[in-house]
Amino acid sequence: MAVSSEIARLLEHPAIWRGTSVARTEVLSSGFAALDERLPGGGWPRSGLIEILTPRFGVGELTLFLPLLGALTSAPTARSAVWVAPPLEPFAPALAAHGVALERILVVRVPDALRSGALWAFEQSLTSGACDFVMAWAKGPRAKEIRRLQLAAEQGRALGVLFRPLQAARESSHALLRMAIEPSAFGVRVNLLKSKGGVRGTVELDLTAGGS
Amino acid sequence: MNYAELHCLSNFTFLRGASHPQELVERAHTLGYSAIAITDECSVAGVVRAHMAAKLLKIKLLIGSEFRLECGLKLVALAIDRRGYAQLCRLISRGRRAAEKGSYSLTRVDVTNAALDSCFVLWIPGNQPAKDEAKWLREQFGARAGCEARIRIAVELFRDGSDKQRLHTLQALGHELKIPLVAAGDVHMHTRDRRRLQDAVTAIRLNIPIAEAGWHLYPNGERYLRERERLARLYPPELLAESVAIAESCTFSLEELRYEYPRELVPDGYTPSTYLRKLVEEGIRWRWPEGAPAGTLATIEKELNLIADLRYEPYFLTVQDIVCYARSQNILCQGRGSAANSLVCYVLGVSSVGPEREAALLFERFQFAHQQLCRDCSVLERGGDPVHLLPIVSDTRPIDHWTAKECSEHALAVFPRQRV
Amino acid sequence: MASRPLRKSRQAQVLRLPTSLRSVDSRQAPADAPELWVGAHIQSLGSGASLEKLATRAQRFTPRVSLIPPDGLLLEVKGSLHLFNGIDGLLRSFHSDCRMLGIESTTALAPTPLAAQVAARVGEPFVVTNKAQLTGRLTAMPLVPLRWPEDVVQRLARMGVRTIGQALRLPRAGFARRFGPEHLAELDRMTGRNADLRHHFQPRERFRRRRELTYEMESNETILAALAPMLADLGRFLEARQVGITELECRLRHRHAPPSVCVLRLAAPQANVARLTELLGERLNALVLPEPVRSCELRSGLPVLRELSSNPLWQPGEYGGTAAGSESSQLVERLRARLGHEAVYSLQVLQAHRPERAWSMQEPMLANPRGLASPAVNGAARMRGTETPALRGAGTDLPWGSFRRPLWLLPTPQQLEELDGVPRRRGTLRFFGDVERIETGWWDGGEIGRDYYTVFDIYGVQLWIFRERADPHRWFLHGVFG
Repeated sequence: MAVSSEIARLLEHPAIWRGTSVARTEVLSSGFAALDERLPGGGWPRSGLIEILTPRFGVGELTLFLPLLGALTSAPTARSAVWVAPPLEPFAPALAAHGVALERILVVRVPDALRSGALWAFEQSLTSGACDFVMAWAKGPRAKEIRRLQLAAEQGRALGVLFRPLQAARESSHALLRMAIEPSAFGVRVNLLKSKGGVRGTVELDLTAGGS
Repeated sequence: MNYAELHCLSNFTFLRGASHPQELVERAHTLGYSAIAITDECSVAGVVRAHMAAKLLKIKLLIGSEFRLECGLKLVALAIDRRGYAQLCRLISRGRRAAEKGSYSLTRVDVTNAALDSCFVLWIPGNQPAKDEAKWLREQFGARAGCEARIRIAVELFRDGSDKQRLHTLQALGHELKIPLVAAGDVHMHTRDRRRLQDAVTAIRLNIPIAEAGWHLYPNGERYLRERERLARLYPPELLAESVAIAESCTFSLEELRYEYPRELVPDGYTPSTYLRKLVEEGIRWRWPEGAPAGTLATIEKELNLIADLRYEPYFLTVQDIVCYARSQNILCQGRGSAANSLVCYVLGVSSVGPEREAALLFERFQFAHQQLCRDCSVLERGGDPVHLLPIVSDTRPIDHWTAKECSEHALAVFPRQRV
Repeated sequence: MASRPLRKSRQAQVLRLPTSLRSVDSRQAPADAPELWVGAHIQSLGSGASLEKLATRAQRFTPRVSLIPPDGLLLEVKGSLHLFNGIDGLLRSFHSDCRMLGIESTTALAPTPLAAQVAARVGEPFVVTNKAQLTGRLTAMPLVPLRWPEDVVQRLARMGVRTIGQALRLPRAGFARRFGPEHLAELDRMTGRNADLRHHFQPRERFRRRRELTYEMESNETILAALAPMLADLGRFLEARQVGITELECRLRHRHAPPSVCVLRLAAPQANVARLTELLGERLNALVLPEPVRSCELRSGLPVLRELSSNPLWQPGEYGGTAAGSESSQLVERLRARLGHEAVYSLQVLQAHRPERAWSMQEPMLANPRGLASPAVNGAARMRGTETPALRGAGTDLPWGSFRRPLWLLPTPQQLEELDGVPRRRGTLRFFGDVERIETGWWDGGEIGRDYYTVFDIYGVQLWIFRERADPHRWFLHGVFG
């Protein structure tokens, strides 16, 4: 589709979503070919909010993002990769062995007493422009807050991943992508609940081939 | 389940091994191993003590050495017979000569040139076994027409989380390249409790505090002489059996070594024995122009018989030769050492100790000191120039036969070199 | 014998310059170089004012400020006149500064410091720029402002000497003999016959201001408003010295409760008052006050020479400078201001076999190329570079284990329940893979002997557990593969 260069530049603004063609949004490969096929544009969006819903902690949801984390942090123009309120300690040797550049990692711990501190830190990180990738484990943000986070991510050109319990699938969400993750025999089963322009449904991913 | 440990370092591999050779041998014996090899790094320094302990306990000792080549390839060579031992020693000497004292340097070319056709070679694969290393080793030591394959892949498992996978990988490799596998232990200590010492010497070797040694330390203490039941749980039985088979094929023992002296010492028409007797008789006439006392002659005869029993004529001829030559060059010298207190040496002119000086007692000392091991003689010269002597000696006698060592500014100790 | 000289030289090396000599000295000023000194005589100090404050303030005119306690100040201003609209302008500015501080003073301008000082004490208008005219102008001045000892003044008076001019006319040798060479030297310095070297005022390095509040305050906004003038002071303080601070402490005192302290720590030296105010505001928001606040105090850390932040010479992206550098340091500061300094950290790997020692927190390395990595926050051992061991051999290959580690580690291992020696967690555990034995760490009291296993629970979650090698052989959960 031929457009004048000015309009083309205008259309590149992240706040503008073009209904039919999603090829224009920059995507990042997930590292799993089977998943890339199903994601709109063929990979994770460069900026925006992704919701990952899991029945419990540790089913493989972090391993799913390892290739992306490795690629983003090792790039020469890498910005920070932030972990907001992770439930346990990210284990540096394992991350390093999977190719993550640790100098780009920031861990943010939120004192329990601070109400909605995690969401605040998440939003700050997304909007700052200093981050490529922000992951957060936050209890039940409401739909309005999710919308704000989505906008913050676009504004700061960051990819935000919000890990939530599976029950949240019932709620509606303004996130760009929503996926439910379950463990499977050799890895995870990914169920794409919402994906603008992408294919919904499940795909099985083999996680064993990756790390070791 | 029988087992023989084929890869074992003693504390003669400085700052890596944590146990004495005799401790390793004793422990292997206690554990009921069928044999144990002492394979210090580019060295056979530990084998003497191991040999004595093994002889006492009647456990078979194998002699070998571990090498790490410049390209990173790690292997253990085990001497099958005396020829193999010679090849091993030559390789060790080559490696040591190519580097500063305390270290060694060997390349694949050195290994090829060393032939090592009378040695077993165990390949010690690294964390990621490199197929090209195995291939090269197979080319060098694999089966050839009329020649058994002497290459083995050493499988060493230490409960570091990779055991099953490593075994699987090496089995596949062995199957593909047709190289048999054998179980080995990469032993650094005789019991588990030496782990702390082994950590400490590692830190010393690297010249860093132990708290900073990080991954240079082993993660656990599994590199010790393990009980056979434990090994049976860890390794497949055929790998353990192979270790025993290899041990049985190796027949070399240190007992086989002895010195051989150069033949040129003895002129044509004489044997060492008859030539020595001739020189002694000349010497008697020189020392006692009016005739020697009967007691002295009897002592000399006794000594000559003893020398003949021990077959040590060449030794005396050697020493006499040097002294004679030195004197002809007006270099002051005097024999020392227990041998020099004999009357034979006195009449040969090696020493100046006459029969008045309780020579008999001292000669008996010489007899008991003899242990079928290395025997040397020092020739001291005062006022002479040691450096000057050495080239002269080497001119008249090939340098291979002597090893000269400067004991002090003015003295030179000369040892007949062991001919292997 | 040979050791003795060695000991001496070692002593010599330990010798340090006394601190007084370290202050900047105007030794480099040659005797005939033209200088102009403003002497200020403080007549009254308002409450809260002090000579140091004035001196600090005066440093904006010139770096060469000298204190003459208790009530004198000297400024060498020759090089500054053109910046402050000449003599009149400078004196006017100085007086307005004094007024602002609540200080009343009189000033005089002279080519030598002593003359300026003395003239200021006299109190009459005195502006002399030419050394030649100085002696003439000093002639009629009384001796009192020189503040010589009473008996010296009395003896001179008995000789009929009451003015400086008369003193100057006395024969030098006799004057020195009778009244001391030091007074003669003073006269010489005052007339400019000899150089007068002054030590420059070195302000106390840290900024500290305290303010008692007129009424007790409770809300954060009012407290911040009360802090505003002190923050403005801080700004001027930093501006005058061209320094920034990396640490700012705010102490709020209450009637009964112990003081509430909030500390702001910055990634890079900061001098921008607006930014400091914003960050301090965030910190205060996070603070829970037990009682109303009666007084507030600001203390700064040691100032640091700050780099010129607004550098128009190059744009972000050119020559390696990135805009992201400042953005990420701002993000870190903002997060820390609200959540606490220790709440934001980066990670590093430590070379250790014990899993809990194989990592540590690290100061975030921001994208600023000038940033320096600081040592690990918790005191775990750190591996030295990549040294090659003297002898080839043990353990230089990366341990196999690193590649099979879980992505998550529990802060402390959690004991598992057992049934007949078999560990359970939310049901049975299925073992997978190989055992990994780790026994090490005997040298620092943290010795472990553990056999690690990978297991799956009934929900398919992959866990990292271990069993103690020593009695009682307990099972623990240490990590989650995630």
